[in-house]
Amino acid sequence: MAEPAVPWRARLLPVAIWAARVGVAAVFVFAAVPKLGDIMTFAADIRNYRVFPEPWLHLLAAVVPMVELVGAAAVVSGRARWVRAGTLLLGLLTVAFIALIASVIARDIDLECGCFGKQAQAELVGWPTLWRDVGLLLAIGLAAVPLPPPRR
Amino acid sequence: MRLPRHFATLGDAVRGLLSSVRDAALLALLGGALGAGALAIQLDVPWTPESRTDEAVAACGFDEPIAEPARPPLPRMPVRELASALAEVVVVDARSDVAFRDGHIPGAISLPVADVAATLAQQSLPLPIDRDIVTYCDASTGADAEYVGRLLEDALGCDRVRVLEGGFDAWLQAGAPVEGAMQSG
Repeated sequence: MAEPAVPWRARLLPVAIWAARVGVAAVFVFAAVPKLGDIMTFAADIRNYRVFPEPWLHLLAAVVPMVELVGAAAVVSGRARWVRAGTLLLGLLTVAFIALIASVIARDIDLECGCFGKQAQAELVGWPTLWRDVGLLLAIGLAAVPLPPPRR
Repeated sequence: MRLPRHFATLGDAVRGLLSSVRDAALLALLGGALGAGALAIQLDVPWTPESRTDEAVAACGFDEPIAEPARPPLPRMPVRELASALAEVVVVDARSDVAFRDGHIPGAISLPVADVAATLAQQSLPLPIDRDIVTYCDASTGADAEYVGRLLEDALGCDRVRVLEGGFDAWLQAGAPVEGAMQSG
């Protein structure tokens, strides 16, 4: 007997979820590695946001990219428990980034993002940065969706 | 309220969420610990109070000084802030003489990165220590400006040196005023 046809949405969903997980992990790894390679420069970038107290700058500059790396690893781990935890962690981090960017826009401060270290061309914080992070948050939301059970 | 199919009851959903929060906190702690380790390595912090000295003495001998830990980078000054404070600060151009002649920030003093060490060794600087100093170069990273700024900070014995964020390119992009050949041509 012929098997019933699987709806295209049901076939596409796992692919979309995995694409979102790999994409999100890649973005955070790409962002974290250069910052970890030069913690001092990233600390200077954080200082320019004029939000965090001086004694915390270097610790933040070291911890944030490492948390990004750990979260990225959890998201592509394939274990539902750690995928949930990783997406929650990266989601909270991204919400914090969005709040920070919004505060920069509101205060009309002219500064470099530092989001991807110093590897890329200097990128000034503004609305495009904020919308990019909102898009990233949506991708994290998709990555958090549990995979449907495999069909037999 | 409709729950995802892997949660049978609302209680399940709450327990699932709490469990994810706990796991996320564990991941954050792991990241924090690894980050602190990475920072300690980059700052060359001794792991125990005595071991660093003993190792250094064994490796270098008694007369060799122990290397100083890395210094944090100089604070950055955004273009907009410098443009509105040009009269109150001393601006130092760390680019080459040619680049300086071509165009520079109004009132800037030329102190090319290639010559700065020799210049500082040979003469005292005509820089007032009661005013903030801002250095700049071509690179958006401000590497040359950072280097010149450090030497100035050491020579003047003050910590009032900052680096122009984004360098001269950012200054030009912002449409700020320029002195030199660029201005006349």
